[in-house]
Amino acid sequence: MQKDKFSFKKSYSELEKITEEFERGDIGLDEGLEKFKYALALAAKLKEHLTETENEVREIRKKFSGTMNGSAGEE
Amino acid sequence: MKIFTVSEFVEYINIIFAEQETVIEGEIIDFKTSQGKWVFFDLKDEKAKIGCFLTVFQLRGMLLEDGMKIRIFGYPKIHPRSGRFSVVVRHIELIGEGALKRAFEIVKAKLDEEGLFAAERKRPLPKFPRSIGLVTSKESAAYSDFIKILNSRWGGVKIHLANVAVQGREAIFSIAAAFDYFNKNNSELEIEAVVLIRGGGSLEDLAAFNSEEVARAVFSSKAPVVCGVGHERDFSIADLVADIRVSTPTDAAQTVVPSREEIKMIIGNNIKTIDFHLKNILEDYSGNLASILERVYKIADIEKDKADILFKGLYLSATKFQDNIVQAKKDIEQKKLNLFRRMDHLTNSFNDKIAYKAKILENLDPKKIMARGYSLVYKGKKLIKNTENIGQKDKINVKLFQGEFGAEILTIQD
Repeated sequence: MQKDKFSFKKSYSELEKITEEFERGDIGLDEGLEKFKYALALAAKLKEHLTETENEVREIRKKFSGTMNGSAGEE
Repeated sequence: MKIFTVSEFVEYINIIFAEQETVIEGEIIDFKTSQGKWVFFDLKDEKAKIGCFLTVFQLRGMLLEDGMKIRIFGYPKIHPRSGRFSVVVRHIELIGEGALKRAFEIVKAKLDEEGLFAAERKRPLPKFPRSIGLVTSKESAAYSDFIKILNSRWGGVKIHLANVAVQGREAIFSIAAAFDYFNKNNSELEIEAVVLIRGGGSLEDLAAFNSEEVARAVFSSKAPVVCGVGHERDFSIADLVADIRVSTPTDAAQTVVPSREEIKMIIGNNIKTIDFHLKNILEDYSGNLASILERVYKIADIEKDKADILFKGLYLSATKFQDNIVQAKKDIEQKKLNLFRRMDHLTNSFNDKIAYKAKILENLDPKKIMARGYSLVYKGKKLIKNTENIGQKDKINVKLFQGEFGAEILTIQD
């Protein structure tokens, strides 16, 4: 699986785009079936991504302290 | 006892004083700047006043004017040449509603005029940020609230925490430094939004967020800024500059990331919508197909018998016609052949007959026989073939192949 390459943003907007196409009604039967299949795959991937990710806090090591003299806090 | 020169004494006092950082509160009078570099004012209360000195750089955009109540952090110093005693200021904080509000208004008016609050420069937040910068104090409730809500709503976000002071004398500098850090490391960290938060507090507590320097730091951010400074009613200057203003750290988390449930629902709704439209498309198609088929069946039903008969007849006659043609062609060929044969035959036999007859005729020619030595005997005109009608002394005529002569019968023998 290309987990790293999966872009939630991209897949989500693809799904939205397909939905809009259907809503506009300019889709034929064959194309519609293909797109529906694709949309289902997108939705499955998106939902999978929703359940498994956690957030990660990375504290920046640099010290953000200092006074008006501007002495501290700069590397 | 040690005896000092004046210079030594001033130097000695200054060395002692330099280690004595003091905090003094008072009201500004006689505020002035010199050559755009130096700032002088007196700090006073009801009974006393003291000169203060700092550089314009140290003000970091803070706007001071006579009548403001401030708190200065600094140390006393005797100026060697003039012998003037003053306080060297290292940090200033505004105190009291009046001073803070006044400063707030001054900074706000100034930045507004510069266009720092302009609506048209407000940037939208990314829908699904993968990397955000968080500017707050790690020890604050704001931080833990924000992380808690963020985790409950969304995942997969890298939060780059700039642990800063959110109040006190270090706040302005450290907040500005954090923004500077994010800007400088933007390409590496790929920060998509910066969240600046702190819990609520008095106007004095929030002073850093009303400072010109923090405002400019927020303004300079390469990524859109969400500012939540724990006040529902009052806006801080940082709020006004930020791309998105929220009221609390919790609110900030809700703004910066979507909720899983909400997105799950939207995804589900998208699929439902697609499904709905696809079914319509299918129905349209099958409806069209059905109506076409129905029409075909209808026509077929009415005309079936007629068509069958017509078709059969047509088929038969067509087949017959074709057969006939084929047969006729064959017949003609055969007849032609027969005719030719017969003609051949006729011609041949005719020729044979002619030749035969010619031969016979040829053979019958008396001259040809006579040429071989035969002769014809006539009594009168009658050819004599036997002895019946002749008698002795009858005159006869003998015709030869060449010439004829008369004779008399001498004897007769049978």
